[in-house]
Amino acid sequence: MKINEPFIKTIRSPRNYYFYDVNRDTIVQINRNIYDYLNKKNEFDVLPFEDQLYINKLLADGYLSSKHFTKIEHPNTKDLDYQLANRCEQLILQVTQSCNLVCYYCPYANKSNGILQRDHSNKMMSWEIAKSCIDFYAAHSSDNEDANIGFYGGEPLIAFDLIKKCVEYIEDSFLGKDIHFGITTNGTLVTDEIIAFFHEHNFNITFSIDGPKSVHDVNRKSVDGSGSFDSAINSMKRLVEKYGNQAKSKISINMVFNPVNDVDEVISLFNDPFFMVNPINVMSGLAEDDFLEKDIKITEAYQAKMRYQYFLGFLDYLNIVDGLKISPPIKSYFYSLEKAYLSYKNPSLELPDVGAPGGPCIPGQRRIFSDVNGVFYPCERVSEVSEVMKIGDIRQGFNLKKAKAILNIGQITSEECINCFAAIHCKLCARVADDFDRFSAKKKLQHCSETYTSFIDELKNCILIKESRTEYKKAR
Amino acid sequence: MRYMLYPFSIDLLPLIQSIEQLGTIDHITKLVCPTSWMNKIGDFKGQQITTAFDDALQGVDGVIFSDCSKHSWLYMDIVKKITSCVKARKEVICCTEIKTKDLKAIQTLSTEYKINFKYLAGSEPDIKVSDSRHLSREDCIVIGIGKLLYNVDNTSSFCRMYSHLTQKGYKVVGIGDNANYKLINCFRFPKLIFESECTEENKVLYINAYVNTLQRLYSADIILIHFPDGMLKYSDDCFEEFGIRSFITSQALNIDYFVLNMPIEEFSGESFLELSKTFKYRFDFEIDAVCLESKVVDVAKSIEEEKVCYHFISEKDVEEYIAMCKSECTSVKFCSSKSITIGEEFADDCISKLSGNVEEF
Repeated sequence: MKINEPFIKTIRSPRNYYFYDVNRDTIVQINRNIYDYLNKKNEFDVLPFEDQLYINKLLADGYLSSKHFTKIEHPNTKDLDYQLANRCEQLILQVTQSCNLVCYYCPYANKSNGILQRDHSNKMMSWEIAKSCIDFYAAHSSDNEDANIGFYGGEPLIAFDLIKKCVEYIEDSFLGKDIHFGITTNGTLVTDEIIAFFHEHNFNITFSIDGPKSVHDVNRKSVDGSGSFDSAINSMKRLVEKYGNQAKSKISINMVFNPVNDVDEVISLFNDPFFMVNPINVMSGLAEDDFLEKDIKITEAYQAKMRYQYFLGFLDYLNIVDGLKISPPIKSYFYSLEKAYLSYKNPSLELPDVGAPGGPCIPGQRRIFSDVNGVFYPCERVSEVSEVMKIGDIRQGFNLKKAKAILNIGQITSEECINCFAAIHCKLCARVADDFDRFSAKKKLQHCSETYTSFIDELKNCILIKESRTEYKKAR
Repeated sequence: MRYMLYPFSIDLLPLIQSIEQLGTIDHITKLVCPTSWMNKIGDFKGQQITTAFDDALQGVDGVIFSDCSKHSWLYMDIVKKITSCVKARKEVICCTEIKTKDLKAIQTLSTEYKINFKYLAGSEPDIKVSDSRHLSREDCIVIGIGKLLYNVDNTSSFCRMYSHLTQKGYKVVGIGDNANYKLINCFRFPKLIFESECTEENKVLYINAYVNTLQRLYSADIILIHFPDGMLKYSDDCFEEFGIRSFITSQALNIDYFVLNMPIEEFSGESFLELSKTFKYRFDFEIDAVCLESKVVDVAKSIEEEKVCYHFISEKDVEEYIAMCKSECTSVKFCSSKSITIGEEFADDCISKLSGNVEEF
């Protein structure tokens, strides 16, 4: 018997053999014989009878199917107009393009002379633009129970007076909805008045803090070269004190890892007894160089130390060693890994005929990021000088054609996506294909290996979890 | 007396129509909704609706504050508005739950201003469970109204059936899942089911005693009761309370006719027979009627948010779906939640199904 080319990826661990089944989106354990057969190293007819039976059973249960998408199209393509008319989830207002810091990797800090990303400027959002954006959001979110409004910069607190006016207007015009305010700040301009205001209006506050003073001040400094750590951490501590029990859910740190820094030194921030008593949320990510003229190099030392941190994370997560100090960014990785692990325990039926790789959000529906001029982008992380990322503006409304192109970014690499076993777990959005006046398949494909590697890592880590909870547990 | 109702949402329309049909409250002349709900109300032309609370207050004698426990973020706004109503010497009927401290302050203020403050979200009738600890079979018809998932509206089927059966001359005791139903002289589902101190067994016994006592007190021909929460879990990530309270309720009562409220699903009309069988095994009653709301589960968003999320569809799509269901499944009655004849259709179907049954002692 010959089975059609199954859409799978075989994987092995030090002890066992598996395949990831794309159609059923799950991992199946097999024996060496079947593993070799699936890797075309032996023939079906030479397999022991029980292995042949097992393969037939897998086929009968819908595994080893050769089905691929026949066409790449995002499932929300058809109802995009409804989503954008009624379901916009979040509005982020760029209240200013001005910032009092000039950070090392900040794409706005005059790194490409405005070619790859806009530069810092003194432009401030006017009240008229802000009000129009808020009204637009209100009119396009009627089917949502919540209203989420974020303030972004530059450094948004430079425009604190505008923020106050917006909050007052939003609380009035969104009465009846569960309103959530959020702000991302460098923490250097926080006053007692601002703390009281944030608390009164139940703001979620994200502080940009990159590590202890020795690390943070190298990256995040003001024009005169002085570091910003002391004022940022002081502001955060005052806010945590003000928020009390709510601090854990309302205040968080966004930590940007710059690979030139020593990992141990970066995470030593969390040795501060303050973080032991106040376990606030930490989001982290590598510094991005997409909009910088110079690449940020990931050093060997950085990789080795990060791997060691993940190793410690595993020892802790699998309850192998007690009392390890695990930094919050590593803890959050294991939280998402556990979710992935559980999802593989719930197999899907099969791939639909028409589908799309994971990655893109619904542009404009997930969030509307409005710049100071009232031009809309799908989020704050895209280039504001890119024409393809401008999905509308306050005067014309949404540009459905552009939003649809971003949503269907998978279509520029249809053939590759149709044949990619990692497609449904892909995390690439249009941002990586942005070539400013068009989308580039070549640019997008350059990022595929990252997705591919991180997905294989996830599968292997899930297998490790499974084995450690079953086989290794018995051995221990 | 002229009343204003706040906060008004489109879901309350069947309740308001029942109030008018049954004449339980003089006249609701003004409907006021929070600013952001106005967009949802859209082109509804039945009554004059406004967001200008203070202006509307001038032209009424009293204000009804509807239950908005589902919208906890409106709590401070409600307390503030009740206070201003009392100060403006307007009668207040309050269906929303008020914290003890705020309630005392409002009651003191209303005494001071000599204003009638009617608090309907308070305690339920004091029902004692007998020591014999047995379940009594109800001496009347029991109609259950449930919802497949937590955030599905069941006001329409409840109110329209209640009004229709009452107007037909039956003595109906309604037990709704919030205090709004007290406006049409119904009772609220006993709160005890939500308390963790009570054992599950005692909850079953209490609900049974509660329903039987009300039946006897009011000589009811029909008990119409809401099942609390959703009936089933949606997925391993969206539990929807696992339908535990619905199961407890099902064990307490003998349901003669059951109406299921649900969003539009992808499954065929025939699948309702399978669903009905599942209900039979799990709850010991089958589904007699299905009331469909004009929304569908947004699968991707539900997975992402770990709660069931919906998006709305047109009434035309609902009608098409109902036509398909009717052609494929004749043993279940289908109706749209927006239909004004829903009470008539379900109530008549219930009477015809149960008429001629052997009247067991």
